[in-house]
Amino acid sequence: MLKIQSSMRISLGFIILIMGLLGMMLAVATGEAYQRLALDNQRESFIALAKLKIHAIIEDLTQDSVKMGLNAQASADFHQAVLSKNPTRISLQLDEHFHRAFVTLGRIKLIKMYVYDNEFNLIAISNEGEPALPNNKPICTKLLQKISSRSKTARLKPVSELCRIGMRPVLTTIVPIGGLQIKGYLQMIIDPTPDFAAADSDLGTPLKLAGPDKTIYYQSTNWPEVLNKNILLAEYDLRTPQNQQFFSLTFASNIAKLRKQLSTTRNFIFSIAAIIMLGTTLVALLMLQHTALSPLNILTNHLRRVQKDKSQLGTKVVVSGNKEIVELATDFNNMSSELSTLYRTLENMAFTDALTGMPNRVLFYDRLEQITLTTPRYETQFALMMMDLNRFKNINDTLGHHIGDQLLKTVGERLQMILRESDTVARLGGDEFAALLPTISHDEGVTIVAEKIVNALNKPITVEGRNLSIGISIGLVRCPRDGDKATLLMQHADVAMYHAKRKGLGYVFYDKNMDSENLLELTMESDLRQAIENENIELYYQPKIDLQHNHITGAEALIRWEHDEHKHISPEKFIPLAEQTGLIQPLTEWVLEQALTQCAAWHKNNINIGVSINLSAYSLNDIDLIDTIHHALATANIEPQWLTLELTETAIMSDANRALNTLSQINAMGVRLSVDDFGTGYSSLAYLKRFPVDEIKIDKSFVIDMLNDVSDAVIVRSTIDLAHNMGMEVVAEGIESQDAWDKLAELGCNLGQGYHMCRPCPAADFEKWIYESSWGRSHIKATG
Amino acid sequence: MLHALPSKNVISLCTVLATSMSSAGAWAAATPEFIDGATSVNAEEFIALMESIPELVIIDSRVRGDRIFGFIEGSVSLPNTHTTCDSLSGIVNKSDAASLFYCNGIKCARSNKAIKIALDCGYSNIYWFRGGFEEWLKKGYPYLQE
Repeated sequence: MLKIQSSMRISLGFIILIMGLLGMMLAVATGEAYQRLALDNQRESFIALAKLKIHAIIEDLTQDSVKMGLNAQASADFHQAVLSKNPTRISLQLDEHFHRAFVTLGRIKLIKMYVYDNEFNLIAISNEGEPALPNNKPICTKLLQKISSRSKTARLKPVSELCRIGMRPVLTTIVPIGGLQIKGYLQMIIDPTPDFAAADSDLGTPLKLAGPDKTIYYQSTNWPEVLNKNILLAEYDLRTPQNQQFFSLTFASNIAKLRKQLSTTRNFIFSIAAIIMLGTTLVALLMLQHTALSPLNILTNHLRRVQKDKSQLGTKVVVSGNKEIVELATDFNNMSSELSTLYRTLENMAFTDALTGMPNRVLFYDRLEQITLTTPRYETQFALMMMDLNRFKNINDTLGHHIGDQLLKTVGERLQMILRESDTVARLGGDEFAALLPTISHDEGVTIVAEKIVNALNKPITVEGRNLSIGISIGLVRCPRDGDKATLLMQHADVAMYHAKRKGLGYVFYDKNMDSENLLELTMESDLRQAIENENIELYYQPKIDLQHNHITGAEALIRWEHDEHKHISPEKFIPLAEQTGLIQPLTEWVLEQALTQCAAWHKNNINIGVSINLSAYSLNDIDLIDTIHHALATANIEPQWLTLELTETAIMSDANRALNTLSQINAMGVRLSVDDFGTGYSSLAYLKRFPVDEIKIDKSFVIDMLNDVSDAVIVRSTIDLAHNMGMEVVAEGIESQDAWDKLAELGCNLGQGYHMCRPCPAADFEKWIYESSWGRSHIKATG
Repeated sequence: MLHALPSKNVISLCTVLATSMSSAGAWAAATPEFIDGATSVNAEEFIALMESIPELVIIDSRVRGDRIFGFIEGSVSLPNTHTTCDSLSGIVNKSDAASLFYCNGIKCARSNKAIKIALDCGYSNIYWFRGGFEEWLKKGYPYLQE
């Protein structure tokens, strides 16, 4: 699922926008409410105005009617008519005033006039006015009661009131008749409609006047035909003092102008709100930017920098902003410095060799890469040394890891003493060391350092009282001559180092001719290991013939390795490799078992011959050797005298004391011992006499040259003689002709090997040869 | 309305001032609110007085030209110009009998002058309706016309 991760800026901006929109909506709603309120206020104020006007009109009408009434009753004739209580007389007086009222006070529209006596009995009604009022009875009696309830003097005051005749709204005014002596009361019924109707022109607003029964008493001529939103209706409900509905006055005021003004105001408010919202949003975003986003950004950027470059760990970040952000930054800085410490510890652990405290392979490789990558090509001038201890494995195996570790530490110290501060010297693992000399650009300089190292490590190292002679082999490369890439330089230095080791040269500069040879060796090591495990190696046998009696006495087992790619690989090539890598031990074990099993098989077939095996000088240091031999003999069920172990002269001499010890044990077992390749070393037979040796084998170089070279012939003869004198048998190798056979036989040599009789061959061929050759057959005949 | 009476000197000074202003005639100034020796009343006090003293003599001090527009019922017409001890004695039979004087209104000096004459003649129970016919009409009390 696709996840959209919006940034804080966007989400907060969104919230602010929503708030702004809500604010706008609020502004609109408020505007709407205020508009309604404004219209209501307009209506209210109009009604208030109308009320004032209406009451002014009532007041005027009352005053005018009182004036008229007082004027009507003032004449002596009227007084006398009232005093006479003659209705006809009074009505005549009233009618006269009706007429007079029209002339003098045209404004008042009289409906009827009534006269009451002192006791409020109706005594006369005007003939004039509207004809039929109900039953000629007193009307608006509430007003009459009001006066009658007053004290005598108070009755002198005229009263006036709105009242209704049925549903008809009228104004009635009562004035006392007389002076200080009241003779009766005059009541006037007045139609107020014309006075109210005049309010439309006074207020400049069309008016509709409706009675309590909805009868329209008046409607302005300019009353609007269509009532739209530009017309504001203001209705005033006028009531009598008795709270009866009197008139409903509806004013239709045109508020188009107000509406326009309101809408302008609303738009203005809306615009202001929008501007404020925008401003607020901007300010909020700016503040957010300043107080949170920018500092967070700084922190994030720093975090990214740290991710890329760990050396930035621990550098402080300074941010300003909110308290929380500053606290976050402080915590971040604290954590960063803690992490920095932790990281340096880890880095130390990751890049340091635990045993010696020197830089390890990772750091070394890193430095090498740094120097190759950061310096422009062809300007880089530095040297690289690859070093390997010569005899470390033996020491480690024989004296234990504890001694080995002490030794490595001392080696590390010596190396560091020789090399400069600016150089990097590292332990790559095992007994492998390397040095990077970044400031050396000449072979001479490198040579001086390498020589110092070789000399320093040729001096014995004392560990727990033992003087250990260790030796070192150094492979040297120079950049850019021998390569400009780290891996290539390491590989070439390795090749040079192996070369130095194999040749026993101490130190060697890389040469590209070393490559093919070395690569072969490198692959060969693992191939050999596999070959031993999978028994892909084979033993060939070459007969040892008794020269005096012409029959076979034994066979020399020779190891053969048919490599998948490289075909036949000679033992001269792979045995040293096996010795260096420690593979010699399992190889020897395998050869022993194989050869003795084969010997046992021959014995079964009545071929009673012995078997000889070549033993490496390294095997003499193998503390398990004696056990291995015992075990092999027991497994094959062969008597020890059938087994001969061949050792080269140099193998015995390299560590004579150890050799004597081991060989004595082998001899004690009853196993025969033979000195191989005799004459190539520097030993003498006299010296060999110390060792329990049963036979010596004259190197084939002497035998082959013997017939042509007099000195060689002398060596052969004297060797045979001396050996015989010391009770040893003599074997001649490399007999390739009948002449050589004859000569050796004549010299009294006991046994012979060579192409003349038989080449080394697989066991099956060997057996076939025995049955076919005269030497073989004669042996079977002799022993059988 | 019967406040602590001011000192005689002040009152007489006021009287002199009022008289001199009135005689200047350029404009009609209001008469003083009180006359020493007479009791001032308004319309309602006048009506109440009528109730308590039915035999109260009401004297209209206006000239006939003013009286034709209307008068208070029961009043006797005696313009100030005709007011003398003799003419008064024909209307008010006793010197302590209650009598009330009125004319057009507060700017009318006729009742004022008539009362001073009556006081000089020795009448002691004199009321002055200073607001006069103007106040009567204004308050909507009924009146008579000839």
